[in-house]
Amino acid sequence: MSNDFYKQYILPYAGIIIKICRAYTDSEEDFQDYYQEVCLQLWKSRENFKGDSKWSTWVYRISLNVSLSLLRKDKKVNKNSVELPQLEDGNHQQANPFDDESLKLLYKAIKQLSDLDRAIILLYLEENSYQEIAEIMGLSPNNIGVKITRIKKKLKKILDGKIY
Amino acid sequence: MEKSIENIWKEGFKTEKGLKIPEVRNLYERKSKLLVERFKSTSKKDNTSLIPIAVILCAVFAFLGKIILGAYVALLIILLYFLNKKMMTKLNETQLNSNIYQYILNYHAQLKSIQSFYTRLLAFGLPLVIIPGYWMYFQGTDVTNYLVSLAPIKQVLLVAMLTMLLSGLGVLSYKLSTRLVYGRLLHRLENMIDDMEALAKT
Repeated sequence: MSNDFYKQYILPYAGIIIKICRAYTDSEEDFQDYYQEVCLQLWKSRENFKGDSKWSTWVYRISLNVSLSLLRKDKKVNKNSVELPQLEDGNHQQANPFDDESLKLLYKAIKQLSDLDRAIILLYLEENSYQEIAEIMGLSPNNIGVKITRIKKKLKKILDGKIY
Repeated sequence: MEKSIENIWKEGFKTEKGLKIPEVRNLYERKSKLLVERFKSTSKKDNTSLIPIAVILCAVFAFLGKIILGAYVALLIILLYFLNKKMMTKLNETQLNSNIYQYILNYHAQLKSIQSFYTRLLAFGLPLVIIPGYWMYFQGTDVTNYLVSLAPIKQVLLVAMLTMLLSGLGVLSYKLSTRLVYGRLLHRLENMIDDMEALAKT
């Protein structure tokens, strides 16, 4: 990947990638892997970007696709009890390094949602319009509206300590 | 007043250090190591499965009253097991130096060389070991009597045809089984090499 591509097309959007990858990983090591994979897929898919939508929408889409796909793979690996090899320098720090306590709790609550609900609420919190979320998720805007209301209620319950 | 989730998100990220951008380096290092581990575990499972196959075949032939043939087939399979083991050890000797691309390239080249070795082995070796097996199976039957009664030239032609048929079948079944067991992994390895080459060019 060229330095120019990274500086121009990834670095300004790194916040998006980080926020999404953090929501789908439980260790610092996994977070680093997810982040790198998203960067790689953004570079690989650059020619597929037709410019019909904003580049940031593309970044959201790729970040979510990669995270969901890696998460599914990880779940499959865990389900089949195939041990991943221990790689060198594999320190297992927690992937919730936020200083802000409320944010920390919110991330913890988001991680209790289903994979797709997580994606929708992340896109909503990032102030994407229902139309944009619908485009990224491949759902109708009305459906997104209904889902967001339901997810917010669920998150509130989790944060209020009603579900754990 | 209780903060909404929107506010927690917005305000939380204003001064958040958790947004520190990770360094992008060695994009393919972990992926390559995991893929090689998959090759190792798949080939180990594939090879271990030869042992029960040898035992089952031996038992089946013994049940059919062909104990010597059963022992012969089992011995051939066990020999194949040890040969595979030796090949795997050789393959796993590919060392990871500082350059992951070179490591993957060497690993791929070793895999291809092993495949080529087995193709040759099956093409030339399989008929040599199977024909005696056929002889043992049909010994004393009408088939052998018929073969013996044929003119020498016909006998040679028949054995040659059988040899070629077995050779073709051996290579075909090897290619198919390799594709079935290792096809996806090989495809991923080759894609990875292509990506790494493309990355290096940009």
